[in-house]
Amino acid sequence: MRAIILTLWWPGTVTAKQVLGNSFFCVIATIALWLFALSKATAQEKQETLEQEWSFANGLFIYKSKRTTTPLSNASVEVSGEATPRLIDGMEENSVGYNHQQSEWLIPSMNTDVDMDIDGIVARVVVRQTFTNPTQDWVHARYQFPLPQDAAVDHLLMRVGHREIVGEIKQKQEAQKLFDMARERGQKASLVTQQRPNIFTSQVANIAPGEELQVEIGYQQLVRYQNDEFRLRFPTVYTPRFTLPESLLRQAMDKQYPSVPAAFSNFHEPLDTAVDENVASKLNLSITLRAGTELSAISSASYDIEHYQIDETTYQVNTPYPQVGDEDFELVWRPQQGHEPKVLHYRQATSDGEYGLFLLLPSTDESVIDEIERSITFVVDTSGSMAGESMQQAKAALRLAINSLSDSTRFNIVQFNTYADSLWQSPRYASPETRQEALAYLAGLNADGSTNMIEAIELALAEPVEHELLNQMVFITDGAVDYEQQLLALVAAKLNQTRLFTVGIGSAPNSYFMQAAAAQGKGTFTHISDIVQVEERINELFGKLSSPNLIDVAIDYGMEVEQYPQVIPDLYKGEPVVVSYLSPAPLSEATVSGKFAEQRWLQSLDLPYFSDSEGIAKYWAQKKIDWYKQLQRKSNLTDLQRAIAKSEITEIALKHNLVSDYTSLVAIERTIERPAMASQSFHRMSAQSQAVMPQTATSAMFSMLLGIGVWLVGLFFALCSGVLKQLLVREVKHV
Amino acid sequence: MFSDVSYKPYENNNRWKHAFIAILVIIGAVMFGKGVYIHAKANLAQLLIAKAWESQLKHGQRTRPRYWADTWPIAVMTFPAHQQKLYVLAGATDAVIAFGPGHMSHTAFPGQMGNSVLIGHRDTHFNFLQYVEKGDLIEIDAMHGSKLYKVENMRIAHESQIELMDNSWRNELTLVTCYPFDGVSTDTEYRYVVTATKIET
Repeated sequence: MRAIILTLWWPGTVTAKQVLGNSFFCVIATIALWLFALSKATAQEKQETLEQEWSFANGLFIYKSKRTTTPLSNASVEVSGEATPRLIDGMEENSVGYNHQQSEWLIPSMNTDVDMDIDGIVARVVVRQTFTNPTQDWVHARYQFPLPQDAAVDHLLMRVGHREIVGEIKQKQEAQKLFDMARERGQKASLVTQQRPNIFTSQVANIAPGEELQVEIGYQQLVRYQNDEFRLRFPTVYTPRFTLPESLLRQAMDKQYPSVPAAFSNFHEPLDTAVDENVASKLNLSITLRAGTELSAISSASYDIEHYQIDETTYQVNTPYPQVGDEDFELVWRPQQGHEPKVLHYRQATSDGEYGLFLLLPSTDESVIDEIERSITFVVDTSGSMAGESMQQAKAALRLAINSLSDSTRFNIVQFNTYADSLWQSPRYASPETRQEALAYLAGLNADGSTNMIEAIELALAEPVEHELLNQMVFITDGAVDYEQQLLALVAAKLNQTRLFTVGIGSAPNSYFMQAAAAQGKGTFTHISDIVQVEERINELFGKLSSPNLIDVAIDYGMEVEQYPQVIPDLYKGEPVVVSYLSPAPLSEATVSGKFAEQRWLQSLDLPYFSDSEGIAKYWAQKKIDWYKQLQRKSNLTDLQRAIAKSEITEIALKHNLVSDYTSLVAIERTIERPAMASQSFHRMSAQSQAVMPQTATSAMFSMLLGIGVWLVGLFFALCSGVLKQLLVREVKHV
Repeated sequence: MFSDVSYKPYENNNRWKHAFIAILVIIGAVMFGKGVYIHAKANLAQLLIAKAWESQLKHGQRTRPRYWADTWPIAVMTFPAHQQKLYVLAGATDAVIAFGPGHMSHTAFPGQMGNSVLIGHRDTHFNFLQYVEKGDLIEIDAMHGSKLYKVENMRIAHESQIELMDNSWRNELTLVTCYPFDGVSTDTEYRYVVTATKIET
């Protein structure tokens, strides 16, 4: 209805058809509105009658009554709740705890404040979310939120009034047990668990009626440095991932790639979500940026920010007003010319030894570029989730890529949705004709269907590999898949010598999957969030693809160290590599070696004492966990090896206070606050966006009523103007 | 004589009036027809699909009702108490559910382990759900045999209650349609949800 009125007054481009349609709507808008109001009224009546019932369960008489207030059209808080506590024969009434079926729904007013403290390359982020319970019940809340894929979550704090309760790291089951017990007893409690590498779940138990509660989650993250720019992302959008039906998935994977059962445990709602201005929480950012050098630019593509300089190398960045975005927040800053770092080394001395981190920066020397004969396969996702702007971005990226290919390069295109198919049987040399053919193929691509990545990867990697060639695969997708573990296993099994580059399209690609896949394939991950970025990012990527900078990299520390990643990836133009290590004693020098333009390359580094940086140990711990997770992905692991990996991850995570697959943060208040008899309800919320059940009403009734309405108007007009009378009179005369 | 003089301007005016009324009548007919068309499509499509289903049973192959159709029947759902026989289609997009109840492809297959979610139009195929009562039987005939379900619960839900569509470890059937049934507006926030569980036969 609202849409009709909008089109009615919309002043944009107006076609004759619209004018006709609109003037028609003007005539009957009044009737329509009246009918609309009437239908709402009847709906309300129905509601009341059906929502009260008596039932008998577990030896208790339970009286359920739900009050449903019509939501205010533009309010962010939908007030609806269970009836006030009512006692029946001394028994507790109403729904209890986790019973989904008896819960009402509400979206509490929730604001998100983000504080970031960036020190050189390590960023510490604190996300503060305020929950208000507008109902008259005690509420348990649960919601999912996205964090950057390399976030190491290590801090949880619950703030009620003036009291603060700090979370402790516990093994996952233990934490869940403690939390459940606290919830049942009526203590305030909060639990943070990791759902998937970049999706976390937070639960809050026992929020009193009308109470405000603040939950603070802290994590650390490494800043990305690329092409003389530093970048930091804060995800604000949670895309529901596409899940294959379990039966199909098993069928597809069981053939060759034994699956990891753990991946089945978490199912998600693969539904369309809309970010509603009124519902989505607003973001407030405050960033202290200790860059270490003077900066020439600070910017953010999708949010309004303001910034000022505190001292020579420290900056303050804020959002001037709370903002809602359907895109991730990204902050980009650039050191002044001549101040670009050459090599970066950070360290942190602890009782375990010395933790350190190297940032290997590729050479920016333009003179050494030699054309290597290459074969590129572009794999593009054309599933339904790519529809609209994402598809345009992908097409623009591909067009650009195809046009920039040199004649000595071979290429092919594979597209996939429910099924996968390719442009040619095997890659062909780029020429005006083949490019033309490829562009035509590209123009015909349509986003529709589901995401069958398995078939696409199989098809793309089925092509015979020519070993003298450098085989590269560019994978363009929004990555909305749920079975990432299986896909990674597939990539690992099939990739061979092919280098895999992933390109994430749209506001919320599954960057964990794409980064892990790229790491598996010794390639890199590029994220394109906006159509204006396509050209820049694609040119960057292709500059990189055509010029591997340093390959077969190794570092000689002069002593035994525990280094992650264990295999250092290739260095490409503009893409530094981070290596972290734990050494028993402080390093004084190290030697970096590799192959540069077919020649052996060596560089010795003096490592003078530099002040300790916080968070280096945590970064190392996280990389070690990642390494074990990578190990777990391997399909031929014995049960013992699996158990060892699990206990290793648990141990590291507990020691470094990190939330992982096997550990959670839990905060529990000592005092019991909720009276035993008070009614509770369980609410599941989504922090940023809200999924809904599919819409199934048709406009059949509306259309028919409208038709009748128009006839009535015609009849009424005919009566009033006397035309009807005339017609009748004329008829009579004729007779 | 007298009346002729006053009649003249009237004649001229009348042409416009007639035209206006004619336009209103035509527009009314088009609008009414649109509504009728939705119902006609819904009913006729089920007949076409019945044929596709029969050939599917005969040849054991996925058969689309029309070669361009983006869906195919996956099961027959029968409500003996309501004399309803519906062909369930693969997928749950708007285009699909115009022809018959659709199966949400990420949920369990009808008749199989898990929670199978089917959605249908409240005005057409699933309109009768309002008369469904606790204990009613539902028969699902899929390619791999037939299963019997018993209605356990009917409820009005808010559209955001997506946990109703969560997977489960029981063999369940969840039917979702819009609520109120006789509503005129298409953007209702409420859903009518019928849940049924498999009974051992």
